[in-house]
Amino acid sequence: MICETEIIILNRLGLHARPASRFALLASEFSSDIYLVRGGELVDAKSILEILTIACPKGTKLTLRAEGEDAPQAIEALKELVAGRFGNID
Amino acid sequence: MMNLHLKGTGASPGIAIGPAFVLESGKVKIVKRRISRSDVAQEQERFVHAVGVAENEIGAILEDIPEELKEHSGVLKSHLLMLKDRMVFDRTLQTIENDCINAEWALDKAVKHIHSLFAQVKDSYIRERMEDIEYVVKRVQVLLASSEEEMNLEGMDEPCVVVAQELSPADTVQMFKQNILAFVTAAGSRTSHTAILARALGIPAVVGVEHGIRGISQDDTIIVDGLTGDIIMSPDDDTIEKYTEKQQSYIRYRLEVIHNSALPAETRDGYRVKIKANMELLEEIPSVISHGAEGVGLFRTEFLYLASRELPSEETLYNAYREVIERLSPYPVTIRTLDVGGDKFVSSVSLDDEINPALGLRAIRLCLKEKGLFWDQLRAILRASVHGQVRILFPLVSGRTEIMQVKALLEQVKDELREAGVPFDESIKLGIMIEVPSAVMVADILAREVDFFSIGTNDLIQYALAIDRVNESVSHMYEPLHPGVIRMIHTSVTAAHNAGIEVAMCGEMAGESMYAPILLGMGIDELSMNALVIPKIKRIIRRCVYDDCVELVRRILDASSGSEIKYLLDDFLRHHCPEEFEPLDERYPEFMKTGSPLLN
Repeated sequence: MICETEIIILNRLGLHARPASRFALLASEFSSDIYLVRGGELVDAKSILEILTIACPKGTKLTLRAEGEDAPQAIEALKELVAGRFGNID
Repeated sequence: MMNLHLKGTGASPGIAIGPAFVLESGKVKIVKRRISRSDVAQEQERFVHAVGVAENEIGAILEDIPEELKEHSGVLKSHLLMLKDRMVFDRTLQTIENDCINAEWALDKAVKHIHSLFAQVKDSYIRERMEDIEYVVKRVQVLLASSEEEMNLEGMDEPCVVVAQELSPADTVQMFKQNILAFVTAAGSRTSHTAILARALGIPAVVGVEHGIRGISQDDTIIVDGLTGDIIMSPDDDTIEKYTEKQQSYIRYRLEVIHNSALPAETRDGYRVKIKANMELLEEIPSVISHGAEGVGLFRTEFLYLASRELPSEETLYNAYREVIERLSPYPVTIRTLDVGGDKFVSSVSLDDEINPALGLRAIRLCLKEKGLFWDQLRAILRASVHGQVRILFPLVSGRTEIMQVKALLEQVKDELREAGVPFDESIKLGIMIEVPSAVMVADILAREVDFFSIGTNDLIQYALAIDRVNESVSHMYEPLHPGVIRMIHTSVTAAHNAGIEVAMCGEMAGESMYAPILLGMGIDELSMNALVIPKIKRIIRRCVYDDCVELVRRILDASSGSEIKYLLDDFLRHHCPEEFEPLDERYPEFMKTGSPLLN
């Protein structure tokens, strides 16, 4: 199963180290392959380092894609994390 | 025997003599070896094991991280995540298998790949995370290269001098509890992590050693002079004796200074001025108290933002402020709001590259732009204000508009706290730094809006004379005694007193003893400085007569050049406190002559 959704980074400092590590940790809880796509660049959402390399400041639009059995749940959970500004950590 | 000598930067004063404990040197030699297909599984296993050991090490450090260093745990947690990151862990395993090469080589390839990706990232904060990856990977490389599995702090039972290429946050945290005589690091500056920690703990340190530390062997006796930056290896008996004397002399000097520090800063004719300390780290509190400060005149709050690599939470700030306020009570603490930009850099806020950062988005300008960040800090300060006496100080104010904006924002924060029923000091005092020339010109207007001024001479001189102190071609023109600077200080003091508010000085000028008579004569109410120099300033003030200082200022204000002012001042000092300035203090000639900025 493949699920896809658009997300916008809302927190003030963008996808910096702390939000990126939360994102990668949560993504790692799912068995699906999960990717972030930014302007044609695709990175593994379970890797903090890959997420950091696409440097997303506040306001960045990204495609979040999951492929696998728990893809819908993964998308739902990660979307919520982003919308909730990563638990309001800056 | 010949004495071998190295030279570095003295980063924390004091002298240590003892055995060197050399930590693994910076570069790990990476052995590159091809392996046969049948050895792939074994090689992968060796890598997985090394990563496991490294993980356990970090886990163990995290578990008993000392309370004082809890701020650093975030960095170590991200290290854990990086170790197991796909780009490091999976990629190395894959490369071992695909290329049939050993683990060290495969890991090195993985790191080089990450390096190339990070090099393209524009955001310098993210680029700097490469440093973290390198710390983590280096540890794994060391584990792969040797069979030993303990972080080799083992064997550090005896008091020793720690010698290292550089010390990572993890290293420093671990060593905090050990019996350390001194630190020597090949890299680093007076503001590096190790230097700050060493000063806070009163341990001598030399950093930034020229030509490196390769000459220092394990267990060799070495002498570390944190005052001059000298390191002497395999010293002969005469040298040891000489330095033992210097060590004793330094200890006596410190004791005498501390003994005198409890006396009040009062002139011979009974004029009293408040002497406070500038501080930044919680570890400095004991030193602030023991050197006789009557409170903190400048609590710099940048460290919490710079140390953690992430924006500190309101709670973290509140706890730190509360601790300083409670431990200093009943003395007051002046908290300066975030003063970054320019030369400093907050890693968690991405700032655009600026051509001229000293004139750019910094201090109060940054805070008024990044309102969320400022909001958290103001909340934290207000909440902490119930635990003692607190004043808030806003940096780099250039005119009335900024004060109005800050006050409006502060009122909103207060309203939010009131609505939530959170207590704070309703009559909290607000002050501004006087460090922009325009603020001096309108000081009479600004004085009506705030409760106190604090003159920041470092920036004021730089902006007033248009001199960049670190630019060698013009640094000789950085002149604190320039008539323009002296008159600006005088104008600010007069404006404050006409409006009935107090005026302090917290720049470097406040802590240099030769300027004390001028500042006294102008009527400055408070001087705030590095705690170490408080006893010396008090000694000078206790030798001065207020009326003479007023007369000195009257003559100085008429002077037409910096050199004329210097002449008048020298003459005054020769007459009034000859023993302080001429000749150099003969009782402690050795280190008084070094001109160490740490002794001042």
